[in-house]
Amino acid sequence: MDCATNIQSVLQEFTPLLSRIAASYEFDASLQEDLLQDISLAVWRALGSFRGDAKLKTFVAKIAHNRCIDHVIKQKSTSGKWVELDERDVIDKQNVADSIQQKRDASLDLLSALHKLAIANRQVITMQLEGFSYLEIANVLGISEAAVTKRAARAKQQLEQWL
Amino acid sequence: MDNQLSQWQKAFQSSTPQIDTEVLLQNIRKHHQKDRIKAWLDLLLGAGVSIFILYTIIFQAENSAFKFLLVALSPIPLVFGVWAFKLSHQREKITQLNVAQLLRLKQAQTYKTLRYWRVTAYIFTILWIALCVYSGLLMIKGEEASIWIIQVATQSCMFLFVHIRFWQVKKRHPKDLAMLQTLQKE
Repeated sequence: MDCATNIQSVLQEFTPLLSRIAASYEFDASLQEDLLQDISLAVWRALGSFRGDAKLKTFVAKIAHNRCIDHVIKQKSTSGKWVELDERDVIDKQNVADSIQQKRDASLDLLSALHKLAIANRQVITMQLEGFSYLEIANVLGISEAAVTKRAARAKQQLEQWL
Repeated sequence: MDNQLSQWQKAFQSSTPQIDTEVLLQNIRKHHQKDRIKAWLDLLLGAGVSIFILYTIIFQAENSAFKFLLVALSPIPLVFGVWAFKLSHQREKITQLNVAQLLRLKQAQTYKTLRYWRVTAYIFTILWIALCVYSGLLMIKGEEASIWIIQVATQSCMFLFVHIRFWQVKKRHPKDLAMLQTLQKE
């Protein structure tokens, strides 16, 4: 496999997927850009070892989630602050609460709502929205299908409350 | 996919950030090349230093003790270079792990890091004490000890650094583990 030419076609096909995955983990635009670069570089390096035992989309998504989790861990380590990862303050929580109070029928921005989810649930629902099956999601995350089903249901329930 | 998920899927797709793929490709090509050059440079520099040491042994070393010391030291730069080169390839394998495997690896790494600094702190403590005792004995015997005192002063800085670093790693260890466990839990 010629990785140099393949990376071009892989990026052309999967950059939207990779950028959505990066956006689901990182709200800050400049950090998102760095994260996307890191993901793309990792995909390029890994292409040589792709044996076709899974779909290329699943292979690429696995690497993307791997890099994103690594990014989250590094961000938390370098900030030196311990914040509950399922309570990310990517938007002002009070504003969100007020917004929900005042406009119960209005829908929150989906991406903001996704960022409010615990990472474990967010991973599953975003992969569902990308069209992955439960089996493929389980493969990427390294968990059982039953766990995927549970997290998907929980994520859906929470999103329905907020949106 | 039910209606609700279909609607969310449309909203999710429409929130895709606009990315110039050509610029992205150019940037990662630069990074990829830089990383490859660095990996080879580490290897070649290591080999170069080892060869230089061997040259010194053969043509410059005047006594057996000095030769023996150089022979013992000569493989170190090459081994370091090979290790750095292999590490860059290992990183590629790590990026292909699924999320659960990566989190388990990170957990194992935090324990390894703690163990590394604990062992380093113990070894430094033993060596520093030995150095202080040796310098002390020389002073008591009335022998020239100024070089050894300078050594003690220098190694004291290293001793402090290692122990401070060990303390920092030990303090952070439970928080790092808790963070990884949060990411792992369902």
